Amino acid sequence: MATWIGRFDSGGNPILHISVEGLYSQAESFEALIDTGFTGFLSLLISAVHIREFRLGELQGMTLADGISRMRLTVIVTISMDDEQLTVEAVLDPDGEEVIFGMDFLRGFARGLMILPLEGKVLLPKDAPGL
Amino acid sequence: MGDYSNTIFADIDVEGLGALGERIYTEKYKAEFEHKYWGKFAEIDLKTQKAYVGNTRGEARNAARKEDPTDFLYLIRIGYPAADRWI
Repeated sequence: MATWIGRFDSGGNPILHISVEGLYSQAESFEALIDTGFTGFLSLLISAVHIREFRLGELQGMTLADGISRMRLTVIVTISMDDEQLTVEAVLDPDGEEVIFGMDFLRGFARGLMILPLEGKVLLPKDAPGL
Repeated sequence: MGDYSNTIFADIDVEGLGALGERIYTEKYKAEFEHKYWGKFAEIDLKTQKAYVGNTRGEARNAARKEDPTDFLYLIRIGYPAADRWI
């Protein structure tokens, strides 16, 4: 139940180190950008996963900042953080440059998010009733 | 529509299959679902054209996968332009 500790990247963006594993692939670590403007769980770069066999999830639409919806594939992945694991569907982004996790990640792992830019801290404490 | 469970995804016609899913949803389910299930999630099985509704995407997906674990699914958030948003 320890608080997860992220950091800021060189661009000042909050990031967290996560481990992602496909059903037929080895676990791989990513520095994932924390983006609360993304409603989904995880967005993976298609270039980062194209040589491995991930189990296909489904198709879905994704409304981007320009208001236009685009089709995206999802793959089934297992995310590991310390002793916690969740198997979820991750969106494959053909155009992106970063691995990103969104609000469903925080909901799924029941984590809050504290960004303290002046202290240079990114904290993800466990979210539970009564805290 | 075949078994996509082990497909190499780079070969998939994402736009074409997505358009098929959208068309099935619009023609068969949209009017009824937006009246009954606004804000919930629906999975459209592109092979059987059946729809599975759930309070969460996981519920909808599990219902669809229970019926057939291999068919290609198209996820809808009922009443919304897309299942996810990235602003």
